[in-house]
Amino acid sequence: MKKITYLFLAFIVLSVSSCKKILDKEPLDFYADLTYYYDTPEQLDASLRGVYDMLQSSALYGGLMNYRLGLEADEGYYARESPVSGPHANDFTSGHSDVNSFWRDLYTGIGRANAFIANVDTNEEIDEEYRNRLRGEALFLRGYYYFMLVKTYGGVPLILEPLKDVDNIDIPKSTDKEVYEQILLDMIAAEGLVDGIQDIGHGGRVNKSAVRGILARVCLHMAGYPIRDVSKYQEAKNWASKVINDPIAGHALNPSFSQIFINYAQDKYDPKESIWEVEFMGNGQDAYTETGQVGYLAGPSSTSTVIGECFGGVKATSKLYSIYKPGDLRRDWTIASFVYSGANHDFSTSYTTSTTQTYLNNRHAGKFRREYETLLPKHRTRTPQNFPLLRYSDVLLMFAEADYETVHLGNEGSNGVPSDSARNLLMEVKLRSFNMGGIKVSGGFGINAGGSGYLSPPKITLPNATGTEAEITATVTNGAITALQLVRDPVTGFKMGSGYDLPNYSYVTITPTNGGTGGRVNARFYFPEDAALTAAELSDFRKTIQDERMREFAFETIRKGDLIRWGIFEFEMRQVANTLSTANLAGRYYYNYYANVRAKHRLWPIPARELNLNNALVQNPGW
Amino acid sequence: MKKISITPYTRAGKYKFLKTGFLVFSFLMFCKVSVSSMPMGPKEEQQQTIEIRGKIVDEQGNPLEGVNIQVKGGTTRTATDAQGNYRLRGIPANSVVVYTLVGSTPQEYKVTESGVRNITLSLEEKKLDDVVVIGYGTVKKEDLTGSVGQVNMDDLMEAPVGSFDEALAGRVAGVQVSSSDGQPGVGMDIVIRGANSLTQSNSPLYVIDGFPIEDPDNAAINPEEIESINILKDASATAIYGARGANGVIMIQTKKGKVRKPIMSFSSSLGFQKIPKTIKMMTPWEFVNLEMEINKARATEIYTPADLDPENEFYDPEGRTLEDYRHIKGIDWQDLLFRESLNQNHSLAIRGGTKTTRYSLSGSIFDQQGIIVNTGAKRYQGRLNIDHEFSKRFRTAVNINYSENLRNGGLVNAGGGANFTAYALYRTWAYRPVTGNPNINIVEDGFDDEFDNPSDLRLNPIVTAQNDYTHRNSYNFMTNVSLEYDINKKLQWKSTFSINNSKSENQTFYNSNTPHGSPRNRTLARNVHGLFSQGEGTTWSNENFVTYKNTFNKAHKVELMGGFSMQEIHTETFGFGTMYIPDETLLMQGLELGVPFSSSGSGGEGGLMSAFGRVNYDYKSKYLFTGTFRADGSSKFVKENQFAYFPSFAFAWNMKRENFLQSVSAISESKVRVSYGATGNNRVGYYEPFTVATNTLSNTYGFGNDLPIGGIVISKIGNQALKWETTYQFNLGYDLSLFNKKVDFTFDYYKKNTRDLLLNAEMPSATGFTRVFKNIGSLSNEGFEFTLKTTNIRNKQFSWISSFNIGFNSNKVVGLTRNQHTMFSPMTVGQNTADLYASRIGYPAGMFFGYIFDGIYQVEDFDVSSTGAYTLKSNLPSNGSDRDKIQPGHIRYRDLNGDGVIDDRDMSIIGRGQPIHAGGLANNFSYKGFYLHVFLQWSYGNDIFNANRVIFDGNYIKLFNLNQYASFNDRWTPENRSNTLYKVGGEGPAGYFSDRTLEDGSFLRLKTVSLSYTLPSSLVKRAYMSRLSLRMAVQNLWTFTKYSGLDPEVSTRHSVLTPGFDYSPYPQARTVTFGINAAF
Repeated sequence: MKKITYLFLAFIVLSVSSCKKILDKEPLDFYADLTYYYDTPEQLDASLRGVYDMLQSSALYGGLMNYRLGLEADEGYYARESPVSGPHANDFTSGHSDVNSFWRDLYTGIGRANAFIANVDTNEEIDEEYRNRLRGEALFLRGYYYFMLVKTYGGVPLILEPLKDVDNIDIPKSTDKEVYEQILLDMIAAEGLVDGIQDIGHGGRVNKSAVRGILARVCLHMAGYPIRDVSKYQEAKNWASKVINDPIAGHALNPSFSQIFINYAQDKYDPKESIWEVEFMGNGQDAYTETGQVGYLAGPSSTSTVIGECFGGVKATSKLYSIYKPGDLRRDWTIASFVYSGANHDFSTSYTTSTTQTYLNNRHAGKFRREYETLLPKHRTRTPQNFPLLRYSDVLLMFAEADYETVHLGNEGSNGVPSDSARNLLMEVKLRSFNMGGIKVSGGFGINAGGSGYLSPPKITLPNATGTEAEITATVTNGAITALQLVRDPVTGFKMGSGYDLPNYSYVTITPTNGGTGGRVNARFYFPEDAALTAAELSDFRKTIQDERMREFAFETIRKGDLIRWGIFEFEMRQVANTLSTANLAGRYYYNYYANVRAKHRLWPIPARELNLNNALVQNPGW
Repeated sequence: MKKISITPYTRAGKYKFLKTGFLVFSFLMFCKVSVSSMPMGPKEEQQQTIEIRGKIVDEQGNPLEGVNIQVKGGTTRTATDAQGNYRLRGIPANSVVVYTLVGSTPQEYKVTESGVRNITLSLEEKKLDDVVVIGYGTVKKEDLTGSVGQVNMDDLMEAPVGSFDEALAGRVAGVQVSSSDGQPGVGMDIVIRGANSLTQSNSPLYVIDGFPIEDPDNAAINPEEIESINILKDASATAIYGARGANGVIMIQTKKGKVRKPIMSFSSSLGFQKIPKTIKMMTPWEFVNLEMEINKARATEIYTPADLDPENEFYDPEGRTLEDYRHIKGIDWQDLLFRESLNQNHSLAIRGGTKTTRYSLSGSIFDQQGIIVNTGAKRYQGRLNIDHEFSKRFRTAVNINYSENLRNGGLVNAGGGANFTAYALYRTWAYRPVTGNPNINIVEDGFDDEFDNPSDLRLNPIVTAQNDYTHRNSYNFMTNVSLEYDINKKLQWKSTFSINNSKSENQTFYNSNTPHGSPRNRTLARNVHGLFSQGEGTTWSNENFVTYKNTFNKAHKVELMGGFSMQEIHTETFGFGTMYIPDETLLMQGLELGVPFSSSGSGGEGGLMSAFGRVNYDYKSKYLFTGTFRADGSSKFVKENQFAYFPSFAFAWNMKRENFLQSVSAISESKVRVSYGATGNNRVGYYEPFTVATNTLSNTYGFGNDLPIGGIVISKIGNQALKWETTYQFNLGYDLSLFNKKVDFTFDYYKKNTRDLLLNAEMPSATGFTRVFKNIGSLSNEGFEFTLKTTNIRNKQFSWISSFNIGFNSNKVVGLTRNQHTMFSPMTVGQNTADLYASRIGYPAGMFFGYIFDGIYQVEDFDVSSTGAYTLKSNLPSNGSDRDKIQPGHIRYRDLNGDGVIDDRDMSIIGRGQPIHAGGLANNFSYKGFYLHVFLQWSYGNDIFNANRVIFDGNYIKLFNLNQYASFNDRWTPENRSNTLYKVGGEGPAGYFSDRTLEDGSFLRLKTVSLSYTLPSSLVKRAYMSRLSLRMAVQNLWTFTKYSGLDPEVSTRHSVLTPGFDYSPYPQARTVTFGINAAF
């Protein structure tokens, strides 16, 4: 018995000594020591990718921003009747899930950036230049996420360090101005650290031009409402000028407006035009989760897997349609003039021809089109299309605006003459999309003489061959030409051709050839004077820039922010409501989106969930 | 270890009702006679030795080997041989001879002269209610100070189920057992005395043969092998398990061998399962009429081309007219989906033993096919229990159990596939009962070609079920060795060593005919794909304790127990999946052909070190005091918070022992119990204090279309301050037993306060995290439990015993995260997600939240314009839609804040998810060889959100070609101005949850009826059997409820925060089984 007692005692001693081992468990599937994750250049790279990753979040550019957040303002609307409430209808409360997820995902991105910035120097053995470059990107992204927050919610809690104490969560809002100041600090620091766009070779990663260009945008927002610090116009101009005058970056406009977006669909990069874009790739048939929904959520609606299915979640307003001048090629790319039906789509029959208000307010946004995707097979709901965050044309227009406002110091009452450079830059953007030398669709195009003896519709050719691609079909009745039609085109609206260098007076008479005789067709062409700024446009250059921005950036999630900083958000939204009302469209579901707008809608409410949990927060006015 | 208490010789005569069976009865009579004939003193005569011999048999007449025969107070002894014969010589005349056999009541006889003494020893178990198994010991029921619910295993075994937990509901007061639905192989949710935790597990701790285990696979145990189940409820009983005791403890003891010749017992049952109820759907004629209301033009083209204008391009004079549908019998999809399935259960056991070694070897096969094709559960299981005595003082016991649980079938209540139409029962109800074109065979085609709605992936319910390939297998190996050493008569040492290893393996293959793998699935879009994963968890534990028992001055009985234990657990899981598999015929083996899309690997380790002790003090069995204490240290918390201490105290006053009650013969027992103590809960992950960084492809970002290798993010914030959650429980109990225990009554009142809740607390997302584990918030549970057991009739021929129990629990949220007032839980029905549950301070957890249904807008509610247009009167509230869209027949909600608009400010608490009380009533009748068991179970006061009705009793988004419940025939039409069902398209804004579809979920269910007949032993002996009985049992025979869904026992997305939600449930089956039990 004694033996057993001893054995028992020995056992106890042994057991107690193993106590430490039993109670001291290191995690098996991760490292408890966070410094492990910042120890090599590859890990720093992976960690930085985590900061970028939030751009793809489904509440941000990976989904909601493409259609349901109401960011297109007066350009268009969410093309569904249900759900009834939400930001897309300007009918929502602070409890709305879109309001919450937008906030949550931006702060998740900020949290990831904070963790990266706090740990990037963990291993000082890693090349300092490399660390600084990555630090710069993280600083910029943090600034960008705060920029999105401050535009949307106004002043928000400013958190710049990783969370240390899970109980220290009553964090008051900073003012919007303080948030903007921090954004400037982060972005300016980043500007000195990140690589140039030509070193990177594409706009998929934060680069010097992107930082400068976004800084210009941030400064314009600070110069505008509600901060209204007009001294920031000069800074905006400086930043934009740095992009424009950077010979190494060599930015230039892509000569074709539509090609910019076709490039996104085809995963092609154009660093000269597309300075910064959200990266998406793949068709879901790989181990990655890098697909997005650009082109699926908003685009010409389609149920064909060959063209690529499209939910068609955004439709344009007649206001957007009408702001384009004749000859502006952006209109029929930005607003689809057709509908897809079936897999082998016949564009010749599926055009929306009516231009009544009902139809003009019923066309799909067409800027991002799945038809052009080259990666096959196409995923049914996910796409590889990148999304533009900053294009060169934006920098040019920002310069023009900042330059103009610098002269006039933002004084709304005073409209003066824009400087030459402001004017030229605006014209550069405008002319890129102006169909110089194309046949004018209306205004002189028609039958001059029907002729006789035509057995079949004649081919109609222009007198000389300097231009390209115009196509005209004729209808022949009893041997005579009785009707004419410029062939429809899904990109330009009509095959009106371009570059025809024909006399700049009266009508050009085009002779049909095909057996018959005497048929003549009249046409006029777009000439530089058609594109020139009118006296009215020159005398209200501020409005001219505003309109030009609408034409250029429709459905690129820029409009609502612009309207607010210009202080005309409610006014412009009301304009749409009035138009709809006048056209007897007030009964349509989308009318509410415009009619509901009040001053409080300049900002979203602080999410209810956040208010409940953070006792130091105060709700935005009116909510 | 089960304790056998020795019946003192002098008390033998008092037993009258204890034993059943005529033999024992007569034997006791004899005993009484022999006792009364003992007046002469043993020493009166001069000693003369005598000799006795004989044969000892059990009640069935089987010879008993190894029976010890000994002269009382002397040394002369012998034992029976294999034939049960013995011979004891040289004993003094008039001495008392004791016959002892482990497992039976010892018997004593006075012998006066030599001769033959044939004895029958009763092998009947000591009645379970005499001894109660508690943590680290046993206690006589009479001496119990805590609240312990005992499961009547005889009753439980009457239920034809594969796992004990399936029959546990309603058996013990305060123990709520519920299933999410009726899918075979899906475990039960057991909550004892209400939920303590909001976001964490409320499952009790299981102690199987002394081995504590947190989440066992209950299906791994063959119910036939269970000797006893005791449920520890109050703090006095559970605090000995300290940190794991707060949710209650279920003590399971398995059957052991007995000292006897091996007895082989065999039981086998074969049964059928069937759905007791289906939902009445619309007939073809009703359905087509409905489609006409939804979309007249389309419905006419598809269904009634003969009724069209002959000019119409769809006009078909050969086609059907609307009248034709009156005579067409629709396709009954429910009938096609549900089948009558087979259920079989066979088990074989050999039990026996010699004096030193007892063994029990058993095995079983259980096979339950589901009532839906391709679903079911199987178990192959074996167990070996050995008890061995190395010496009189040193014993060992070994228990080994191995089981394979094979479950197949995708979860019917889990849609998956990111599409609400991927739910099996949705498909079944939704599929149309008739086609417009009689040549389309929608019964056999996987897809209905006349129907094409890309957002509604509606595949043939039968074809998809047939193509389901889901296997969830688990392999469980549990071994447990104990050593016991009696250091002396008063001091006993015991150590146990246990290893439990469980492996799981999941295989899922989605071919092109399943919703997940169909090329028509737009959201998942993985085409043919499969997933494989396996996991393994190993737990070892060692417990050592000593027990000291002594009685001082015959009045002060003291029992001290103290010990320590260690436990470690190691888990790991691995898995991968591939998609776009080109050849689907290879099934899982074809996974290598696909594109990998997911891979996972994870592991965890935990350790627990504890010391514990108990003091029992008993003064003349009148005043009983129990104090327990446990210190637990867990690796789940950081060093400073690792240890926690859980004390409890209990006091019982056994009034029957007082003079004033001793003379009251009607009262057999009267005892008051009071206890208070603290218990804990550590149900959080292994590494919650740690901040976790992960490196995965899902968090990465590709630059310039490069192929990123990973993305590192901080995925979870840790909380170093995390510590134990503590539940303080007060219990007041009263036990009363009347008329020689013919009436047993137990009452308990309890109040539990849980503080420092281990809450997966919400964080402001500005911190970068949405949740973190914190010790925050508190909950309380308060309730009453009554148990009544009565022997109504008992005579030689007939007996009737009833047992009744009821438990009331009221749960209340006392505090949440900081100033949070309500925790909302959203639910998704169809395409819409909205808050449906609120856990609000001052209310029970998991209350239903939503709009109040306020009838239907009637014509009188509108102003009528000259053109006949209806405009809602301005003094009436809207329903959330635009006012100008609201028409007569549309749904109406109550405008709580009176602002004329229905929005989320008009949502309120609309119902309760938890029952007010639940319980059971069992009646057992026996007549000669017949035995009838009738068991009723109920739940009262809980509501169920019948989410199926959102879609099928109102068609919430006006989907075309979607069949509806027949109840929707009563919808509002100008002719039928219903105030309960809106017209087609009158559902108001989609995604509004209201009490329109919230129903009373109370039910009373005739859960088990079982009738058995035991053949007379004289008859079965000829077949070399010692016992043969035949049995027929029915489960879920009849349910009384107002609930309109398939079954009120449903909670398809069950959690404390989200109880009573019914969407696409697997129906509960009615089971009828026939079985035999035989012993050889």
